[in-house]
Amino acid sequence: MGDKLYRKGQQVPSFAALRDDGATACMNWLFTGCYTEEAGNKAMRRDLTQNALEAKLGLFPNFSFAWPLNRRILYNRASVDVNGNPFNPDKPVIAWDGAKWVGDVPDGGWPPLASGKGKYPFIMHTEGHGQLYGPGRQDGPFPEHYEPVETPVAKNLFSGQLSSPVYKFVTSDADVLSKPADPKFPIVLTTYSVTEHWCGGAETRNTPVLLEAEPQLFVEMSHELAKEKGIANGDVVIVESRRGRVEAKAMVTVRVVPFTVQGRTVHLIGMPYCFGWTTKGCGDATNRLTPAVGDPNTTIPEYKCCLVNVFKATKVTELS
Amino acid sequence: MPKAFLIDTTRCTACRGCQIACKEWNALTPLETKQTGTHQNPPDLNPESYKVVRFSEHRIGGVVQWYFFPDQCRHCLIPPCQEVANGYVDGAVVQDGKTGAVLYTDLTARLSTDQFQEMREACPYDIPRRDSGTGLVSKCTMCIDRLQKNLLPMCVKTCAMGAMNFGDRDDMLALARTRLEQVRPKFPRASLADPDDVNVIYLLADEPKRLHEHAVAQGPSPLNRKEFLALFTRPLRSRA
Repeated sequence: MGDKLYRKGQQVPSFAALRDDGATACMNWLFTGCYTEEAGNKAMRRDLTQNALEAKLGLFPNFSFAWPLNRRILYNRASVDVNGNPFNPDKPVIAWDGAKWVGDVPDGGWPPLASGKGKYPFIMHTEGHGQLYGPGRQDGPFPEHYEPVETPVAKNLFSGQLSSPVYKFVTSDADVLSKPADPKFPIVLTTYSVTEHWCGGAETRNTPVLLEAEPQLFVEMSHELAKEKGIANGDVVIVESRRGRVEAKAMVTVRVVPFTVQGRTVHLIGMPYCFGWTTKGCGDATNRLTPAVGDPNTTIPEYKCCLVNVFKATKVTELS
Repeated sequence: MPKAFLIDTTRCTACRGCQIACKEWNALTPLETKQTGTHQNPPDLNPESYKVVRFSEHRIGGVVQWYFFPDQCRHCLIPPCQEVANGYVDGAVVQDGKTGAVLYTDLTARLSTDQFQEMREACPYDIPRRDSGTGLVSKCTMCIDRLQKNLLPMCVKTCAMGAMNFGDRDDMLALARTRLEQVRPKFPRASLADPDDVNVIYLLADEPKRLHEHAVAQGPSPLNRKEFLALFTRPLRSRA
């Protein structure tokens, strides 16, 4: 690299120095240059110094590291005109000083387009231009508000289409859905992770210190809903959807408040999905409630919203 | 120079890394706990838990405030537990001259039930806990074993948020005052908990009771503490 020779075991300074002949090794080219021979671990840097240009934009190039090459803003040449002058001189991301780029690390070092030797800034796109939308999506081209497939409302106030016309769904006897605004399941369930357990919890539930800190399936609900249902903090409750039911400990909290949706009170409850029957006494899987609905493009499950009901348990079998 | 902690509750996110790392380093036994309607678990300090992150939530003026308080021994400059325990069994509690760490020895097992109860009640922060089997009284050790190897206490080492800080007492006091001034605009009721009396100084995000019943000392000299805090806040008030 330049006039410097890098030997076996040394870190090369940039992905440009990576070779396809086996002379270099790299797990991820984007992070090449994060550890260097000269500067060590750049992610550890906490230097807040900046020049006048960087100060205008609030850029801190000497603080930590950004991939690739410590470039802070991708496609940054899109912020300049054909002569390399910033479109907004008060907030210059990058600028051509006549001989070189100053400011952020240029995303492609070619001179400005007016020189005839330049290239369009969006270098990872075939045409080099920015895109508002592209081909290959099931829906679009522009974002649209759809209700979740299980929704507490019967009408989408933004359009005649209630839910996505192209959502993915598994069909089996068990995979049934509540109808919109189903009076039997009027409560909205959302699901999430907790810090102590990883994903479904199969590993972390078997780590005693983690299970001690977060031991059993819970359901967070507002004081308002708890009062309506006669549930006290710590009670065992049954949460039920059209697909199944689980027991959970009620966590009554000010952190959840009822919504007013289309003039009606809609209650929200929240549950983690890290518990399951393989760990005795911790409760069964929240997945027994959630629908096998996937988003049209990526099939990401729609576990952030489905319809349930909740009531106080009279008999406890799943929780110790 | 004695050592001190600054525990900045305005930075704590309740990840509970400190609570779990403490347990791992000290080889303390995890207990079978239950969900009782709070994330706080284990529910309290116990002979196998030197550190517990306490959760408290409030709706104040329509705004939800969720506070976290990583509770542990304060390593008092003049520990009342030592005065009581050593009055019955000499050497039950020792104070390390170099670090200021307050340490419970095996001799604590010789304290009678009533003597232990008196020792626990003497603690302004309700920290000492006794193993009913061995009779040993236990609590945070300031990771004295790690300090002797020039390592940070485990809870400080593991804290990713900058809530747990450790160093020379003077440095921690200076940091505490700087941080208090910094957080004042966002946390107008913030204060330092008993900084003159303890080596584990909390920066409290709100009124002490809103974080934990024993966040500050109950008892003998509330006036002195108030006087101290009044002194402390005066320059800030006059500037505002």
